[in-house]
Amino acid sequence: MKVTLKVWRQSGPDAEGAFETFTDVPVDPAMSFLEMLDTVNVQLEAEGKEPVVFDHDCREGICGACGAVVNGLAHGPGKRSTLCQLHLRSFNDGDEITVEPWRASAFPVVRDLMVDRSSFDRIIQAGGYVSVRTGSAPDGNAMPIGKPVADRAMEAATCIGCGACVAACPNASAMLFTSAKVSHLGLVPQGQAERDSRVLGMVDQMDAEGFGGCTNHRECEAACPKGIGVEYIAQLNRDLVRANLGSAAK
Amino acid sequence: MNAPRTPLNLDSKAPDGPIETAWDRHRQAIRLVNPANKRKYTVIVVGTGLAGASASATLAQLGYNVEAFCFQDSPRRAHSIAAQGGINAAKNYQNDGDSVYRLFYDTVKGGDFRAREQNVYRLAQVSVDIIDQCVAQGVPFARDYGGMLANRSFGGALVSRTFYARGQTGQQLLLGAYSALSEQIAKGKVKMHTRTEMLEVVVVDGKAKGIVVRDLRTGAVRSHAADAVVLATGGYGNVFYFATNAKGCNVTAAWRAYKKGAGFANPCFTQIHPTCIPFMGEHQSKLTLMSESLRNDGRVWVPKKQGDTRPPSQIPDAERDYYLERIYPTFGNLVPRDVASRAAKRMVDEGKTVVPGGMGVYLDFRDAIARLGRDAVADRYGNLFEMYERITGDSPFETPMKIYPASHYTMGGLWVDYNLMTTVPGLYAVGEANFSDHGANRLGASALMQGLADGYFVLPYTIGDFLAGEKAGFDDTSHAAFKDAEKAVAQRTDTLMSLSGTKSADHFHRELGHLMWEHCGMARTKEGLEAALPKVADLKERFWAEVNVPGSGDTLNQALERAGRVADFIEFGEVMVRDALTREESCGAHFREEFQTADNEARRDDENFQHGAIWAYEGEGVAPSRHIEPLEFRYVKPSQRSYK
Amino acid sequence: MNSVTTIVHSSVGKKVLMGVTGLIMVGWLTIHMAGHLIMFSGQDAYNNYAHFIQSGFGLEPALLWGMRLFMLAAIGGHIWAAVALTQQNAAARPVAYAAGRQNRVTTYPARLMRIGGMFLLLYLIFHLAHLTAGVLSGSEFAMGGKPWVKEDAYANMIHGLSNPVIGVVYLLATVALGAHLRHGVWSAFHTLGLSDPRWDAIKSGLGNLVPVAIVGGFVVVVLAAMGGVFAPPDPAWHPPAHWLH
Repeated sequence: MKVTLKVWRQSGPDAEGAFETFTDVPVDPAMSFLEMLDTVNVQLEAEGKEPVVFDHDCREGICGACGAVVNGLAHGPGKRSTLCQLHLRSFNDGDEITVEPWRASAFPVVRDLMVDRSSFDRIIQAGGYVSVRTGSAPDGNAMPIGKPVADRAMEAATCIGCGACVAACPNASAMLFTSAKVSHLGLVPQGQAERDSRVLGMVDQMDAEGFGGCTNHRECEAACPKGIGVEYIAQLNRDLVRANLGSAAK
Repeated sequence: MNAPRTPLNLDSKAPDGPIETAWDRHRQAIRLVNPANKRKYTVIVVGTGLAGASASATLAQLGYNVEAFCFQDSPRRAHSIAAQGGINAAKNYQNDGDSVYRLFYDTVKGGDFRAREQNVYRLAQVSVDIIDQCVAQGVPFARDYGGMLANRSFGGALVSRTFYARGQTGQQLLLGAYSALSEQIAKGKVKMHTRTEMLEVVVVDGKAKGIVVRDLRTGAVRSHAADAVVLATGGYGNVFYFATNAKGCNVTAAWRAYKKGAGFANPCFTQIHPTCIPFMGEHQSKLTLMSESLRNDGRVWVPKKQGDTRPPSQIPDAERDYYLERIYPTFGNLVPRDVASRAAKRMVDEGKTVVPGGMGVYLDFRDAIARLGRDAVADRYGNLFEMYERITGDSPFETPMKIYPASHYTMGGLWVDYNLMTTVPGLYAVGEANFSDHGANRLGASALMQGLADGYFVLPYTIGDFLAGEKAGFDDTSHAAFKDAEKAVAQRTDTLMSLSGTKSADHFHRELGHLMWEHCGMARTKEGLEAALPKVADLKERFWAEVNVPGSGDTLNQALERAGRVADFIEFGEVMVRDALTREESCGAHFREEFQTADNEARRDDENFQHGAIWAYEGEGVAPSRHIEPLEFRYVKPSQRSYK
Repeated sequence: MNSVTTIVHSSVGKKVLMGVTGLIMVGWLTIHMAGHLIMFSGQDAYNNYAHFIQSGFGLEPALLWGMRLFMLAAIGGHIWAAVALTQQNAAARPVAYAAGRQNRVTTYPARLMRIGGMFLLLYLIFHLAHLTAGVLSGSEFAMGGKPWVKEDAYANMIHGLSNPVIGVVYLLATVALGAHLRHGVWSAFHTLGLSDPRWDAIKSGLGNLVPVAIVGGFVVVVLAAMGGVFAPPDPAWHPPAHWLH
């Protein structure tokens, strides 16, 4: 089978970008999307042309490095899938496939399909942790955590930080990403001591990075490779209000 | 073999005396840095996986300044994140007879008596602290209904000591370490350098005092000076090209350290993981692992008849060979990885493959679904089943999984002493990058344990012993050693850029991988290894003549990154083959066909090979020298491993 | 940071403000709609109800102005937050997807919140001018040529909806309101943090029920007025003398 690829090429953060078209790219239905880009790149390199730049690493859908908007959909048409787990069997012979990078002011383009997601790291640095000195922890079973709570915390903690939620959001909002970490640590007893300062700090940083606000379209949830739900956004909202009422009361 | 130019200092510094108190006595004996002086020292940590992130965070908590580096866009993406199954710890929460001693025993035995006993005992000791630490960070380990931590069993053990977070244990542990690292970054104690690749270790007056890096965004080459350097740069499984490692995993950092005098230990000890999705075609870029935990409930089988092409549902039980249960009745489907892998290979070699024209065996959940119900099976393995279906298009609920062994983990690595220091003073190696704890074969769920043990609980103490003897605050990047290293990096880049061949670096990597798998893979022979040596040399020659790296060196250039890593893999491949060739025995994952028992198990030669083999760089175009660290087994007496 | 500055400052705070002001308006709309149903009880009953409101709920006329200012503040806050968030959202993606972004799950009501909100604001101004302030008193088009009489709200309503064009405008506004509430009510609960699965039924139940009830109530009244279901207003109707005190 053959497809036509329109891939966004941009030589640097401040350069003008444009689509480059690769016609009649031979592909195998069992190939992953990134393997198709590999094929294009091997050809380009052999011709002495610069390969298409894209982030990728584990190719198992867990590292969160890969991602691009394929035919208008973050990570492409797959369900609960990263780009590396999207296979060409999701397309038809002769399809034209458009590929462009995540678009958000907080994710500036580095080159071609590669974007800078360090804003996510800074959101975590603003409070997405439990301050615990190595060696000072009590026994792991000292604090029982009911299975339902542990399971819900785990759901939230499965976030891979790929940025698809931002890419798919009409407002380029990072609420799903931020709320997943706020909720994961807010649900478990270990996270309680810093619960208020965490949500205040992380929401502050999220806004400072230039992400948009949430208007409850739920596009993030639909694009999330881990299926993290918007109920965690509600929990972030509640925690933020709680933290404010708490600080106002003091 | 050449006479070594400079003898390596292979003093393991492992304490003598009772093993139970060895670590305590060692900590008592080594030097400490005054708390007020710690902030005057800077430590470079390369790599932000489990070992690197936990070491960086802990060193910063202690007061040291840390400069951390990773080639990924974020420290959260290191390949530790892909570990699925779990992490071992001798908590004995299940009350099933586990203990520190038993974990120690299982690990030494599982490693086929090729690891240092004192290191392994320490690993088992701190394993319990790791779980406590991770729980306190908020890692959402699986729990039972009473709210207590849950465990499962894993290959090579008769107790349930594996802690897990669904099939994403590595992810959760890494995110725990990453959050601890993030806290220290926010506090300014760790300076994080992302998208930065280490290309040289800088040795000043015989001690590691810094690194030279390339900023992958801009192509800029920079020097960073420090009082000590820690490599947490992972394993070299991608030497086989088709491996379960992430695409970015590479040997470059370790290789550059080797060329600066760090001994490389047991490079031929590469683990082949038994349960990966089989190779399906040349279009593939990697192989995907399916957690070993699947063997808890899945049954491995092949048709009894050769060349049986019936679909699995039409093969009655009487015509199926559940070969692991048949050959190893005690451990059954839970035999260690090397044993399971070789058994699969034997079945396929006998013509009983289940992948037409290829290689594979079945891992069947039919009986588990009948016994436990579909929901319970989905609860345990749902995300793994989904992953399998996404890649292959088949649902393991409906039809057995097809699996086959693939390169997964490397027990070999930079030689380190009990303090985790390499043969270069001031240069440390932690996690998969070192060779220390797994011997010739690693047990399941022990990689995460070792990475975090090194990073949280061992290195942060032992590094003080070296730093206490150093004048704090080395920052002279204008030193000739830095300039020379920068020049070497620039020269290498220029050479790669100047080549105008017609092939991509990936092309050579695939060729190397094929060669290594063929000659130095799951089963090795003297003839095969001897034939491989000139082939690797030829490949190296062709690479430097025929590769084409487009673009330029002073900008973001992924083709250049790939080419540099492939070049190092080719050079490394030679040492790996030499190691496999000289180790004339079978042990753990290293299987020389000439050395096997009557029932096809590995036959060790303890008289001649009860040692670690350490390779030292002797210069360009000169064969490396081989050194040995003899191993002593005072507690676990070497025996023929039996899992029957 | 205290709670007021957080609301002004953070995107989530602005969303909370939108949710709270939105729910205030929903509460008011519910009462307003229920009041309209009194039309079915005839001229006296409806005018009595209108007078009860106009007289400051039978207590103090100033209360009516207090109520109006409160509602104005709610509307103002709602609009301010909407504008501020819209600006933030536009700035968050300055470069649009060249090939367009496809939606997977979002609904038309959600996508039409901004344009629908603006339409509702225009409608509100018209509605207040038309029936609350009587600006169009005597207009052939808007009042069937009849005068607007403050105390005779029943007659105002019937005359005001005697032109089918005006009736259709009211129906359209009602549909727009329904769409706005369809997304808005659920969103408000969500923004205010009802995340627990226990609340899911209530959240989606109210999210569906409230718009249906409010729109249903209004549509029934408008259609009844347009279809001549209500008895024609008695031209001789006069407010009781004690109202004039």
